[in-house]
Amino acid sequence: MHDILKETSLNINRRQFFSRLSTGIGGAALGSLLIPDLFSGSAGSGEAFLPGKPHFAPKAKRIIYLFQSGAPSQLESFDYKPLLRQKMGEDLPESIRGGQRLTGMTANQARFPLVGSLFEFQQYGQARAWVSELFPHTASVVDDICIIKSLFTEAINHDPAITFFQTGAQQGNRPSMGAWMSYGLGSENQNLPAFCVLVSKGKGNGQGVYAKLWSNGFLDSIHQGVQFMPGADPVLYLGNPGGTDGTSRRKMLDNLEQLNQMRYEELGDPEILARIKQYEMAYRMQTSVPEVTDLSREPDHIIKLYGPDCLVPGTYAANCLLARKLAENGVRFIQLYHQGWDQHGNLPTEMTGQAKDVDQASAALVQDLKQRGLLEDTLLIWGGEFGRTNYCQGKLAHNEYGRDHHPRAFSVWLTGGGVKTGIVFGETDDFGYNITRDPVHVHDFQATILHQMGIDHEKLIYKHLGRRYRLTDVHGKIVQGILA
Amino acid sequence: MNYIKSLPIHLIIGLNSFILFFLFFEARISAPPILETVGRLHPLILHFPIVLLLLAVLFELAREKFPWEGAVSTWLVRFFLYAGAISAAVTVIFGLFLSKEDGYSGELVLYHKWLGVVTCWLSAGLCIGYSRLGRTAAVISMAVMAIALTGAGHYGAAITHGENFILEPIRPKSTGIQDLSKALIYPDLVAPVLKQKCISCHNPDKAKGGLVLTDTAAMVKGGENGKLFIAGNASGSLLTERLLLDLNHKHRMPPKGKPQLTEAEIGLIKAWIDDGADFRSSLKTSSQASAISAFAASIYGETREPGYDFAPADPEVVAGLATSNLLLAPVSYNSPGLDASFFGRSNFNKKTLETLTRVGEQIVSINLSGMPVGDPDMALVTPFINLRTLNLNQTAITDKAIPELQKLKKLEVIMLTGTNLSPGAFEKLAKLPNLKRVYAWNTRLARTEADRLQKNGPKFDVGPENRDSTLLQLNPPLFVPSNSFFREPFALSISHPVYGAAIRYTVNGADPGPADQVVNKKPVTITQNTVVKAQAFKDGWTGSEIVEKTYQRGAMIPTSFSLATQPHPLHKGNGAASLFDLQDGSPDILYASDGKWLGYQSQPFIADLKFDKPVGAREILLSTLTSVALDAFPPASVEIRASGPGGDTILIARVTPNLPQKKAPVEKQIIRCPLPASGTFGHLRVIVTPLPKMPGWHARHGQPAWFFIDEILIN
Repeated sequence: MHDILKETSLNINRRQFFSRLSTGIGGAALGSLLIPDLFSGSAGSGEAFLPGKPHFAPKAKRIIYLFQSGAPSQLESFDYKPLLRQKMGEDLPESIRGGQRLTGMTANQARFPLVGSLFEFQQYGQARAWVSELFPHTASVVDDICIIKSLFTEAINHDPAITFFQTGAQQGNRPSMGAWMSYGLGSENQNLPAFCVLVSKGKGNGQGVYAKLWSNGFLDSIHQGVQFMPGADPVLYLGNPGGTDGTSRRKMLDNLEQLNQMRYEELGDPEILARIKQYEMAYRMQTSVPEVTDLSREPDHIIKLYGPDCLVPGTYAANCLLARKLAENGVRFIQLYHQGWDQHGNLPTEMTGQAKDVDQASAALVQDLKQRGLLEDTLLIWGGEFGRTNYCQGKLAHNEYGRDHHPRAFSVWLTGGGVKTGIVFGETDDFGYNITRDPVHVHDFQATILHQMGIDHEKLIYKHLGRRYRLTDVHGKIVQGILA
Repeated sequence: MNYIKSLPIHLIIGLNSFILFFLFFEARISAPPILETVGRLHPLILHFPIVLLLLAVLFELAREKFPWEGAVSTWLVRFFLYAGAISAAVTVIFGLFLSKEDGYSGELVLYHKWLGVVTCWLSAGLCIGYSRLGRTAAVISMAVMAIALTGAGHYGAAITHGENFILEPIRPKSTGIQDLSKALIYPDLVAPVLKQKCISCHNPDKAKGGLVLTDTAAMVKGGENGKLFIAGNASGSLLTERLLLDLNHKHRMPPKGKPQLTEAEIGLIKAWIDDGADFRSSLKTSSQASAISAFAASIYGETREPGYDFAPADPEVVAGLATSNLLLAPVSYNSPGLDASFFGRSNFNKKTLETLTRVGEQIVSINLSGMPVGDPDMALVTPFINLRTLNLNQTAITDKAIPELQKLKKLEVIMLTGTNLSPGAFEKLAKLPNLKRVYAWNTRLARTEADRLQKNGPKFDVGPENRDSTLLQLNPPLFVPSNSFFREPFALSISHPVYGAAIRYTVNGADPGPADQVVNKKPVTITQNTVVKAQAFKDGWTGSEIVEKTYQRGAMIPTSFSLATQPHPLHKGNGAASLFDLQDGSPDILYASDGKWLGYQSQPFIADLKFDKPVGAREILLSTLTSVALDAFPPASVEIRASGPGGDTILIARVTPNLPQKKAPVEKQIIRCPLPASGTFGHLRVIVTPLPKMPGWHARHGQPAWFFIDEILIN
């Protein structure tokens, strides 16, 4: 036992040694590797909550990611394909499908009858972007967003695809994008977590989302996403327990800190210091979280902007409004999920409902961020994990059809944080099946996001189990064409 | 012995004769591949003559200082001279072989070659003549040799590393492109990339592949593999092809092991070729301007940052100023500019703003959005002379703050959304020399006014017009509790999330009208089966949809209950407990069960309900689901049996619900089974037979239908 203690304290000395050495040599030589807790050993030491410095001047300081879980159909939203209507019911030509693998849900289907959108499209804005009638509010802000029609991914089922989008790998166990941001850039506001998660659910079919998606992976646990719940207690276990008031809480924390400090002096484990910091932050969150989640001060015109649902806790609209407040309060990465976009069948009805859930509030968020000047340094992203097939799954009727998963081409939109707005990027073939211009791989998308945050995606690295990990693995090209 | 002694001399003479021969017939010699390999050893062995010959010179100069006798030191000098001369000759030969490879021509190579040869011959001459020369002559010859040696070495290094290799780190760096809009595409953006990554092998001195990239005429001419590019067609150009080949491909440029071009650099070159590969055109007039500037920004990113002409602040001071409510951090890693953001209205402290003046010069952006600051506090902001961005959204400032704000001459962006500034105030602000953008939504600034101001001034953002006059429908009121079933009378609260919304409601099944009661704070007490309808209203909004909610009472609960047949594994809910938990199943059970429904297909649903004391139940209600699309149908029949006196069971009620129509909506349906008016029951058995065959109009007609149940109510 004594030996282990000795060894521990030696370890700390070694860390401190390198830490001092690194400051001595100076930032210049090590600048390219500058990451907040690179030299602080594996555990988050005292510096972990200080904001890190981006590699170069960032265009965006924070991200709001409106994740549409379940994969909304690009063919009923932003990728207008009149040919599919003309060829309604005809088989998807093998030359177009080109051996694309199928999911277990349509693999046994004898035919792949093409199906066009039931919904009408119109052109909007300076880019004459096609937007379907399901998204009238998004259509009205089309000059303020950048639509990418040429995203593609590698996975074909929900869990691997979402995991891939968020962590850069299909298998899981890696840190989520928000955790990487927290690790690379730290928190802006020390009274709130750097990575917040908001979940809502539509009426459409879909699988759930789960804490794995906002995991810190192998990074320190302080980088984990903190979920804000609807209702009176947005962050679990934050309030004082019954019978405890603020003063006794403070006293308790002070005494606990002394005990922890004694233990730290004895053992020298930096994890103890991290724990002290986290208790302190939780204490500060007792005032900062109610202040942020209180929507009662929002004026009527803001409520109208987001739609009246924005005051119903747990709705997508309420989460959008809350996301704006969190962004305003310097949260680095705000991850929303809206579930229910998996329209294998009954697409027209379900998608109408889903679009109604998100359209107004998403567009409102664009406008609300814009009016506050927050779009100057906030990157807003809307999109799912893959697209949907141009052929029908299950029974095909003119007003009743479904679409299966399609990884080869799908649409997302984004704005703010130095993204060029009023443009449509990328193009798909007339069948809406393959990308014909400017393909954007998920890793390219991630690299671009990091780039806008002032991070070189090849330099944001964490060494774990003998390997250097990146969000973009060994891939990723910055999509220059969408940058202003 | 003599032979061994004279061997080095013979070797030196032999090697030098070969050099002489080679130099005479250079033009006619072509080196076989094996000799090319030998030639490439030149950079390796050239270090020998340099060291050996310089040592010889050193020992010669220091000879008299040596403690040893003259013979020993003479021997040392001779040894180094011989070894140096031999290695020099070998080095020259290898170098001559190397020069036969492609791309070694030009002035640098010429100087290097002849200085090398001179060094070699001088050292050979010294070997032969050292003992015959006087000391002065020896020293002079050696000095000449040393100079030639140094010169040869210098030019050789210049060939491999580039001409300014040594002094480059200490020379003042080019300041980059200060203003992209004035940049010329080729000289300012493309040429620096080529200079950095290509010209070390493609210059007049070392023109690999016959290609020279240092002058534009030579670039247009191309190399021995043809023209370098086709103006306007990057994808068809040789240059693009070479840049994009696989790294292991032998024609890949730059070859493996050399510094590679980045994505952005390749993109820039392609965009320049697509633009017409003109050497003089400016970015402003380019058809590819946006792509080129994006790539350039990525390559020369740093130069696009506003040129801050002040020194960075002391990091310790910065760290000391930050509090848990103030973020104070450099704009980016290399930047001296600081960003200050305040968070947490309730913890805001003006003193913190005051202390920031310690780094007043460095602060380029302040965020005071939503903080409790007003006009007098603006005097605290003026010391920040380098301020570029100021966020004063939702603060209490008025026109009185304007004179202070006008002092911020470097201000580029100001956010004033939700403040009470007058149009006159904005007019004054618009005159700030560097102001580019003003956010002024929800202020008194009208759109027309903003349009006028931004004609000659900064861009004004005031948002879309007439937003407040749009009429939106209120969302429906909320019911708490939301469960449809109850056992004991309860208080129903109806509320609405929008402040000031009024709710009217009825409990008699009629639609609420202007005359109906308005919900005040008091909840509504529900004691019996009730249909509640409610609607919300507010000025400036249209009324909500009418929400209808049916509350069903199930006054009795059996002492024990169990299922005699088990539900389908996909829809087994919470087992028998689901039947009396007062929990609603959602009509939306498309793929996964929500845990509240029990589903049966093909086999009957049989539940036994037991009472300790026989009860006088008068009706049993089954809450079921009808969804034609999901094959959920009302059952074929419901039978209620009670245990008779002799232990046998007697049928006391039987119901056969109506089949739904083809277009029947998805809805929950209550199946009512009246029980005999008299009689008490200790044991009731509910038997439900699902529809065995779906009707002919259904897509899966003839197949068995589903039966879903989420609750049993007994009254």
